[in-house]
Amino acid sequence: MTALSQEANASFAFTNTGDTPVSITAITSSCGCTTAELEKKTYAPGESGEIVAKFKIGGRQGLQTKTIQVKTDDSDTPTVLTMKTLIPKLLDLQPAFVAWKRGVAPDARTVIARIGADEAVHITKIETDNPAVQVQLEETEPGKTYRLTLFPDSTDESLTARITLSTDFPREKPRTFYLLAHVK
Amino acid sequence: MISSAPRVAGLRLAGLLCLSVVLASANAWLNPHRPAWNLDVLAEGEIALTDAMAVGDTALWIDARPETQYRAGRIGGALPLNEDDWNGQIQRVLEQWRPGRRVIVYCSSQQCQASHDVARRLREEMGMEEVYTLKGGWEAWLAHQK
Repeated sequence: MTALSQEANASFAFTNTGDTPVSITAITSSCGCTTAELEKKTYAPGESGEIVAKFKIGGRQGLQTKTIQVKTDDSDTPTVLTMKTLIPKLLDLQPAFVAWKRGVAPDARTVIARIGADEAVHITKIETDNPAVQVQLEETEPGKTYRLTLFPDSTDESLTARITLSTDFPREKPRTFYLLAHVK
Repeated sequence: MISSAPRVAGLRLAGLLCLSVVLASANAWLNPHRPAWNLDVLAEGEIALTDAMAVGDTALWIDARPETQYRAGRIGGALPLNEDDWNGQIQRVLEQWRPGRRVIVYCSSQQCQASHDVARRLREEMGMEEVYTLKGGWEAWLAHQK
């Protein structure tokens, strides 16, 4: 699993250990992002099969837990399958946002940006939509780690600045990330 | 010989029960607009539909359902934001949000998880403070319109 993976698959093997055929009557998932495929519905005694779950990652990140309920005609209680996927962040910002309280000293704040891909990723452009919060970018480990320094002109008034970080990765559709800075 | 201790304890218990009935009756008489006993309890971060409607369009409404459902029908003014296309949709949300503006996120029903996931990311990644999930989601909204 990488930060750019688009899908995660898991297979759940099963065997009919009973004396009579068992039919799978319904499969439902906890999220529209997860589908489950089954070769056929009815399994004879001793017969094995597998349910293949496909999780469409989209913009998700971090630990994702998705469940699939399987109902059969031999039990009123569905079997719950759990699929856990750890999706690395392509760009991990620590902290994820910065905030100053109104009236405090407008000290600089530092945000460390770490690349979660195996390849080098470059932050090609950094912009703020509010000139009252200035931002400086420093590459501390080429293609891997960056240091952002933010400082407001003043903390007298509440404000928000949206910092846009453009990257060169992936090449076909480079990702953009956002960091909010608040005075509140 | 029969001990008097159980009888005293019984009398005390009866006294306490009478006292609680008297206090409850007084409370009912003094607070005629008290909440109903069967009032649904809100989970942490949830907002009831009536309260959300009172906030109206001063709040930023976020539809966390899949894009196809959003296109088929939505709460007026709601912006789409779901984890299928977070990177593509978040910019518009950030353009509409300002500090102090409440954010109300909804998904399909009380059972769906998407609104909670989106609300958590808005709090944790964007530092938005007043982010609520709509109890009952789109289903509750539709039921109220009928």
